[in-house]
Amino acid sequence: MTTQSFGKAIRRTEDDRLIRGRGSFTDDAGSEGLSLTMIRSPYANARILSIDVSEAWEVEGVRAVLTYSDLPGRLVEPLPLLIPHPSLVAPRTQYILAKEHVRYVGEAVVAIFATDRYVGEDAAERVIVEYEPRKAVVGIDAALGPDLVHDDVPGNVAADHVEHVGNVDQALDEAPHVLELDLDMERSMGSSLEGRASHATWDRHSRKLRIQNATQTPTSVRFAVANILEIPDEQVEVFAIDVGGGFGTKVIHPWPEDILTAWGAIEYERPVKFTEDRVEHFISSSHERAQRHQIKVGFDDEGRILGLDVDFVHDNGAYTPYGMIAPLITATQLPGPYKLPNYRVRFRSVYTNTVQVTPYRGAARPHAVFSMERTIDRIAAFLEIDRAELRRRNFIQPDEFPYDLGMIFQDGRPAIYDSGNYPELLEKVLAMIDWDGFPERRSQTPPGRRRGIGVACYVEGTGLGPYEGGHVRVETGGKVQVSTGLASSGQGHHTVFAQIVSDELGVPFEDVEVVTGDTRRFQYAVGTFASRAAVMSGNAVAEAARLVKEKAIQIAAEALEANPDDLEIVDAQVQVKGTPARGIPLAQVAVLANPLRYSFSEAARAATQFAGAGDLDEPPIKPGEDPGLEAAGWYSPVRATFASGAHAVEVEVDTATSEVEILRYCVVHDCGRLINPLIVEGQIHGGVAQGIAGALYEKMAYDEDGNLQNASFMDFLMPYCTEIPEVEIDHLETPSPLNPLGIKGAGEAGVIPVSAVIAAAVEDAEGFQINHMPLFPSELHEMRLMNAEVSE
Amino acid sequence: MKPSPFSYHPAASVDEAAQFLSELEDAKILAGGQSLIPLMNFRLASPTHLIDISGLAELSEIKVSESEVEIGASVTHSQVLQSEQVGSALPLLVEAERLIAHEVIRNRGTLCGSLAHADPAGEMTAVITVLNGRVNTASVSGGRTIEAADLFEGPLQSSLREDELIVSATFPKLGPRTVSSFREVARRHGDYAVAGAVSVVEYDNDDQVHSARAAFLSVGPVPTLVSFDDLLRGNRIEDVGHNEVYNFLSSQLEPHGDLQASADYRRHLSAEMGWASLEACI
Ligand SMILES: Cc1cc2nc3c(=O)[nH]c(=O)nc-3n(C[C@H](O)[C@H](O)[C@H](O)COP(=O)(O)OP(=O)(O)OC[C@H]3O[C@@H](n4cnc5c(N)ncnc54)[C@H](O)[C@@H]3O)c2cc1C
Repeated sequence: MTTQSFGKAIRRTEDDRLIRGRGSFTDDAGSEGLSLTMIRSPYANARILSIDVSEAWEVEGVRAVLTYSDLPGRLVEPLPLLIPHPSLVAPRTQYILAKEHVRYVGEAVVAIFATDRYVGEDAAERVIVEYEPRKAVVGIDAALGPDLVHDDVPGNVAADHVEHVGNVDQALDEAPHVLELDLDMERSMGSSLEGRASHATWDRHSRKLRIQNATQTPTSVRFAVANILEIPDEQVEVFAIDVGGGFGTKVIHPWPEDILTAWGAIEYERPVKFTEDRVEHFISSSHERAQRHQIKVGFDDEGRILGLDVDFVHDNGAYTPYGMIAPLITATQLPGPYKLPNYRVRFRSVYTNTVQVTPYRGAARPHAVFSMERTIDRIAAFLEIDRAELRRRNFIQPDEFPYDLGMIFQDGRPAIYDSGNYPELLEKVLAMIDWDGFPERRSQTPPGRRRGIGVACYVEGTGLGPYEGGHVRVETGGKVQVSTGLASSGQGHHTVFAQIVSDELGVPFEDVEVVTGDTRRFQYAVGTFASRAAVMSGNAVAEAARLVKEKAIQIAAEALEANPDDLEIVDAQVQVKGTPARGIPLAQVAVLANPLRYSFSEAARAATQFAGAGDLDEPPIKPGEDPGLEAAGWYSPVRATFASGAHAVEVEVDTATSEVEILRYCVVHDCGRLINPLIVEGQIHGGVAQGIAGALYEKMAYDEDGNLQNASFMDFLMPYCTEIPEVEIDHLETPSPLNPLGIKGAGEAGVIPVSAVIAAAVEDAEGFQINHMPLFPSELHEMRLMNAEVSE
Repeated sequence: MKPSPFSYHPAASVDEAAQFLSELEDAKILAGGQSLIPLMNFRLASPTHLIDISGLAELSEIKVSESEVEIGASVTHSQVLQSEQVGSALPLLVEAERLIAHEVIRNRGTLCGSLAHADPAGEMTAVITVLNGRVNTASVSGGRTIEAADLFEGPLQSSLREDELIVSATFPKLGPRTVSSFREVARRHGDYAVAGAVSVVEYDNDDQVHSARAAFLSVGPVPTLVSFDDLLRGNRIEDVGHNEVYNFLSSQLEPHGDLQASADYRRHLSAEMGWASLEACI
């Protein structure tokens, strides 16, 4: 019997290679060519008066120094607006090299092609750029003030969007109680270990542009490059072999450097590489998370929410290449697991002279959950009802699915929850952390410490369309080759896709080899983001495997002179059900599927015993059939599937230092059927770690001139593993009815409720309101002093 | 994040290192490189010549005498930390080393490099200050000793001459009836401390404080030495208590604010660490 691998905690096949330093990242791709070095703006808002590059050309090893005016063809255009939206009234994207104006510290101004990055940086010191600085617009207050980021965008408003369900004004008018909250969260970023990178080679013999790129979406990089360079798609090959994390930043494409390396490779007929360094990652990739929310909530004596009115401002930085996806997600995910009969949300997405904001793992859901969960806690405090009980009273119930929120989700389709069991999630996490035993534990808090507990729930739309595909091919040597256009950036796709194919096809897990994100192998894909890879490509490779299985059974039926309905595939052998003696190995079926005249292997020779068994009046490949034991499969869902979870945390806060220590962190997570619990738990660990980072350690510290003051890991406090507690995890498996495998996405979940739950626990410990995240000891100390004064 | 061009000179001896320093324009000593190389990668420092002393056997010694511990300039943080000799002669050095950075950095970074680097957030600058230690230097015009009190002139500024290198650092051992302790708060494990204090308390024969002092990290341009003699002499620490010590320190310390701590928070935290390190000496 082939042992089932779906659902098993199989170790990642990727890790052996990665742990031994045998990964193949873009920067590993040779250094014999040219290196691209960018000169970036030191001003947040300035006109460029002049650029003198003459001395840089003199530096030995410099091949070219380019400014905007040197760019040819379509390279002079602004980069594409990837996702337009009717409410996005004033989208703006940056140029490959700044044209007349720079709008954030870090914007690319000059490109240097040189023999290596050292020479490039030496040459960069010799370029003289004259700027006329203007007042920088930094932070939401400034964005709402008189100074402008783009002269032609009044009020700095890129988008102004309203959605509503029911009648909020009436509900708030009639509600027995109304509370108001002002909440905000600051910026952070994904900080992948590997920054952005691209290595482009032009093969003038085959006229192919080969690009290894650290991207979450190789197929789209390919189309973008072909489009802007005005060459046929067929001439461009893009692959991402190993990518050291992406977290959303590497979904954005094309970056200026993607185009410049590709263009330079053709122009100079030499490989060109760009490897972003850490400072560049801080000041020229993407940030996320700065939003300010004003909330009004109406509720009855039992704590049932009657109406919720949310008005928030989203700081989108200087440009909007990814449209307004992030704030749209906040708007539609804010209701979470709760019934909101009357809900209105308005947001303004505003420009500032800072790095662009695009989705980062969690994608503006942390703000949504922070808003909703803080609101619930506030109601509980007001009514003096247990916080868990208040949640119970507002949950959507298990028998109410599919549950229509009455809103449009980020994929342009109705936001309808497909399945879930929120009450059970909550009960499980409460039991895990022993919620009811907390008062007893609190009474034993050691001197010098204050103890608090918090819980937070969330719902996450995952597995968005439009589609993904996968290809499965059985080789005559017995190996099963699987490819997806969708790329990997550390998720473990090679393992889970192999698990799925192994089960669907009936072959040992070890015989399945997976390649992801290589346009030479599979041309169609959307990309790895929005917790969609397992749902989308997982179901697509399952479909491909099913098609291959059907074909194998057809071919084997002829060879074995059996009825196809009587055949099964077990352990890579097609056989009469329950009769292993009457079977034919899949490898031999692969030989039969491709009736060559030649035989290369034992399998082929063995297969000849079956050859000729068919009808001699029919051609070897019948009309409508293709040679080869292979198939492509596709999956395209009607809409997103909604995962959910509940986190609970117990903290101790030091009375002297105001440091927050996490004593226990508990997660109950429901992503439908689990393909591989080990991988899901790994995703949760990483997500929770990034959540803790955003809650207690990280923020982008801009000064008022728009300089990022902490653009290094010395000052930007990404936590080490020593700062992250053990994360205790339990699962609930509510299958999704939307896809055959019954799965939901799991990649982002861990990060989503962390700020909310830590705020709740610290609030519980300190006894005053926490409305702002992240929470640093220095700020908590000041809040204590302020609250002590108020209560005196 | 690539350094400007420089030439690299591995020194074969202290004499040669001193020779290089006197002859080469714009030269710097390279020890563990854990502070210098990052500065060069950011092009905040662009020395033309690096003189590497990390391989010098003559600087690799740890000497413990009756009254002192002497650490050579190529001895790494890890070697100090692991030295049993140091551990029994002057446990404070080991306690401080544990608070410095992470293992991989301690494996290369040197104790004397920390002192030359003169970072007021560095643990060793505070330790040598509170112990009244000294560094021993070499140059073509001869060596000298620089007392801790004269060593630090400002953030990343020592009183070393450009043609001079540190060959070792000397720390007096603690006398009888003398106790020391180091307490600090860092945002992440191994980070430079946001605030910290290292205290040395000498008791008289009645177990009352004879003298007490503490050096504070990260509160000024150089390590800040505070004497508790007026407050504590002839008393017990626990009798004076947290509040008095806290208030005394709050009035003494004038720290700056930065990204990790407002000036007020740092003053508060420094006073708390001052108390905590004294309390640990009880
Ligand atoms: C991530 C990180 C965290 C760190 N955390 C801490 C911490 O918590 N606490 C702490 O104290 N330090 C910390 N450090 C710094 C570390 O301790 C350094 O090793 C030390 O400060 C310098 O020692 P080095 O041997 O590496 O000196 P180098 O980097 O080689 O040199 C530093 C400077 O001193 C000069 N110099 C070095 N040796 C001599 C000498 N013998 N004579 C004259 N000049 C000399 C050099 O010319 C240079 O200017 C950290 C470093 C890193 C990278």
